[in-house]
Amino acid sequence: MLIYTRIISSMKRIVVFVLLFTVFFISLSAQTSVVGRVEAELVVPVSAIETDLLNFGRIVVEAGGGSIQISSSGERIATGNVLLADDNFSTGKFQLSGMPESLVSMVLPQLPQKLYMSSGNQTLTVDKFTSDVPVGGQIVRQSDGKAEISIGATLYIGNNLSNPAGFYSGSYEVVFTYN
Amino acid sequence: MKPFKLKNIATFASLVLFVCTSHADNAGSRTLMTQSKARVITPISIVNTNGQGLDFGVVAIGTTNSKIVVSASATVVANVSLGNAVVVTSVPQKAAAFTVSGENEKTYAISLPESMQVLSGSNSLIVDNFTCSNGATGTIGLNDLFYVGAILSVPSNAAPGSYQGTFTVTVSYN
Repeated sequence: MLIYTRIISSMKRIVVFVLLFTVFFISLSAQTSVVGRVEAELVVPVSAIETDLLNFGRIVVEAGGGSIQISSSGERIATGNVLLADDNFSTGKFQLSGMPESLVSMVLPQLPQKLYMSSGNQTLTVDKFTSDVPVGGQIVRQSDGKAEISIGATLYIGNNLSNPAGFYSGSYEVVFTYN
Repeated sequence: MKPFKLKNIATFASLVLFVCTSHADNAGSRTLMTQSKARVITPISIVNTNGQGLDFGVVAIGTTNSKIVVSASATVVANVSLGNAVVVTSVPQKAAAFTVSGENEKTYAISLPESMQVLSGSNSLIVDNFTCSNGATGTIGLNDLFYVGAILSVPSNAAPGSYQGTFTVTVSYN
């Protein structure tokens, strides 16, 4: 009896950890951060104003017609039965404004453009637009953010019946974009 | 998952063992079976790969409010999702690049900011809609390198200038 009592008494106090299964996931660093940079450079949009008309000048037309070519460097050549009446002509000129030292490319008209007679329905055709913009683009000056561009083209003239004497005018569109 | 602190865990572990021992002593027990395991896993870490930040490049301000998108990818194609601002394509845009390392095959969550500002002097622009090439999660060893892109808002009245800022990317084990 005494033995039983002692056993029971002992059992009461016995704490048996049959299985203490403890798993610790020790994560030295379960979360971490890093800083990234963000950058953006905003520049003024490229813009342009026309500073000179593309002017083929005064032309005397003979029977067969012909053409007048103005190069972007400012040379004028008459071909066929047309005569240059005076030296008053000019390349088309634009002044660009944009980000200093940036490169700007230009898209010229790809299709022939019409010049319309001011007092009639007759038209002239202008084609083969060229410019002095380098292949890699026109650089905008660092000093003032501007650049000048010259444009040439070729004017086709019919005979003096299809293109009677008069004033012919039209317009063309060029598109400037940053490279 | 909040980070465990090694110190706290070590303290907890020793307390458990202490209690076990105490009880055993008090009870005069001869039986003490305890098993304690600790698995230490490689901590997760992240670096800004090659210092490559999120670069919107050069943007010509539009006449309308515009949004410039840099996709979360190795190669970024100029993308103006709104407005008529123009991305100057001769200057490359880049998504930010990050590399994660840690316990192989363990998945992790990626946390990006909702929005932030880039500053140029007293002027600021909003950058938001951050995206990650991994989505919201990644797996160590599977897609350790990921890219982060975002959208830059360029109002028509934005001031020209060089804008800069920083953002925080957080990765945490799932």
